[in-house]
Amino acid sequence: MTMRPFWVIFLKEVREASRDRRTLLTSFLLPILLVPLLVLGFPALARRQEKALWERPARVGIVGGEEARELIADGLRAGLLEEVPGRVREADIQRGNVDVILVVPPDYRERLRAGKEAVTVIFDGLEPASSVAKEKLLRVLTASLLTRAGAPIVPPVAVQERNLAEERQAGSVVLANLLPFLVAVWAVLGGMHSAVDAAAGEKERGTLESLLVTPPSRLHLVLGKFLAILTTTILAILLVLVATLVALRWTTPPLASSGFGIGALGLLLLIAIFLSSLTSALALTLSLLSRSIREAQQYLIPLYFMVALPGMAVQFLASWQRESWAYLLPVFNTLFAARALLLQVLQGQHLLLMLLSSALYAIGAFALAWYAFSREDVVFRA
Amino acid sequence: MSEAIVVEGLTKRFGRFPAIEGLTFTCARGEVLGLLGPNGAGKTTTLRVLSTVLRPTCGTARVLGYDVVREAGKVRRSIGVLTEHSGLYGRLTPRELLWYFGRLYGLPDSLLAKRVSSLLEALDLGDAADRPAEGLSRGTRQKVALARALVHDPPVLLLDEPTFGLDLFAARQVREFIRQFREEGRAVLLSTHLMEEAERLCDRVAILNHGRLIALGTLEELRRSSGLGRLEEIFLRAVGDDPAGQRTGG
Repeated sequence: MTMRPFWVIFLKEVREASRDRRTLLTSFLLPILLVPLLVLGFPALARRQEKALWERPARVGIVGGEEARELIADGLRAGLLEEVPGRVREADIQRGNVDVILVVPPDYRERLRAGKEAVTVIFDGLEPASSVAKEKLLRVLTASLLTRAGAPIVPPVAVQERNLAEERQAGSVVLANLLPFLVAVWAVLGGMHSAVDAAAGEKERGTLESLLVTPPSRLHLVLGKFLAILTTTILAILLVLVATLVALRWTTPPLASSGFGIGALGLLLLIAIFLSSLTSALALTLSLLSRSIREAQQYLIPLYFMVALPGMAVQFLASWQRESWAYLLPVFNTLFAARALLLQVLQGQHLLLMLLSSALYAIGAFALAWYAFSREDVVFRA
Repeated sequence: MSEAIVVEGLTKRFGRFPAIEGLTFTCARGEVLGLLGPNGAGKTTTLRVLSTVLRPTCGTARVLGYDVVREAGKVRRSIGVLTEHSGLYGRLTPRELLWYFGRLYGLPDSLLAKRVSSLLEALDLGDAADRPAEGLSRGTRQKVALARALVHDPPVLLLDEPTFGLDLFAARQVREFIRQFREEGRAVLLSTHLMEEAERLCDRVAILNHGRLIALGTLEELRRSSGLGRLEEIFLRAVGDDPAGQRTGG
């Protein structure tokens, strides 16, 4: 029995890639190591820091003397707050000397009765310690202004915050913000070394000409190499997805229970295949246009950014995500679809538009690779 | 002798630069024809047109009667090619490489298995057969490249500088193989810039300069027409003081 030529080429490329340390590192080891760190490590660190900040007293600087001290007396006694003695200025927050400043003017009671802003709380929203301190101070102030100052509003009831998003959607939001980016990154990184080897590597090692003088047509050659690059890419992305899901199960509370099951995983993989078909064909073309492995790697860096940046940008383009035309833009279309899928708002017509346009882009890029392989000046560019 | 390679008025230009211009020659089965010339004379271009990877600008070239443009597929099945900087896949072993190329030539597995083991034996590659190519010596690698060119048992061989960069022993062994190819009745077109190699191996010699054929014949014929004894002298007189040596593009 004889094999179809593209299949012979595919198997050889995959065999070579499986013995390549660089491919094993960037396509397989990196997702396993890096993805859990991104999914699990950073949010966990953020939570730990916030918890620690809530447990220690907030350091309050006071402008306004006894009046002010009276207002926060309960908080000081309860150990929620801690007064920083002496004169404080706004710059002290940025220097880390105080977390928050309370300004109480002498006429604050009159202002309160008139329904005007009575006191001012100064904090730095970019500083977690300062934000937490502001929250604590506001809670103490609310209670104290109502009881001590006799403010004309409805007396406070015990208020318990329950953020539904946290329980139901936090998982999907983490996934929706992170996964399109990770998929985009490995859509290029995953097959990068295979692509470099498949064309520029063959040129540099002097094997390309030996391959070109064999009977298989250039179409078979391009198809075999393209499929090998695509396979490495898809395997890398599959690892990214699995690593993400596994990592999410380890979060407390578990975030994986946000409707992201096998069905969604399959659809996400399909979307990734369409994106990777485009990137694989482009990477193969760029590799063939290069004279050396080094040159090919340099050409692939812009391709990497052209895919990874949209992967990062889609979370800030939520309004585009609802528009049909967004599912026609190359690269963006797949990433919007992936994000919408993870947020459980993907519409059938958008999915269809994305699949059709992506298929066209992939076919176009494949044709470009095929054309490049049939050009003497490209193949023998040295 | 039946002609295996027939080249008529063959011209290849890159843009306006003529790499070869109006070449006409033949090579028969059981004959070793040497292509001689300084760097940039057009030797490699000639071999590339014959191996169908470059399209001629004008003129014709036929291998076993097949046209290199219209019947490129049939030509490729008939030729074994050793390119100038013939490399191997570093992470594949010689045995894997031969299987890869054998399958590309469409050989059935049963035949290929026999072919690979007989080639590994004939070229004395038994020890190296299952080691990754990146660890092999230059001489061994060149033998593997030769085995690759022979895997489909082609009647015509196109060899570009087959002893380039080899040490004395390896080069000697490769020349021995080339003599064997002739005895097996294959047509061998051999490009070289080594006069001694041409003198020892070739039945006839074609001297190229600036892409043109400036002398063609057996060594005896060339000696008679030039009145000179050694090929090197004949070559230097033919090429004159104006070799194409400074040009690139072979």
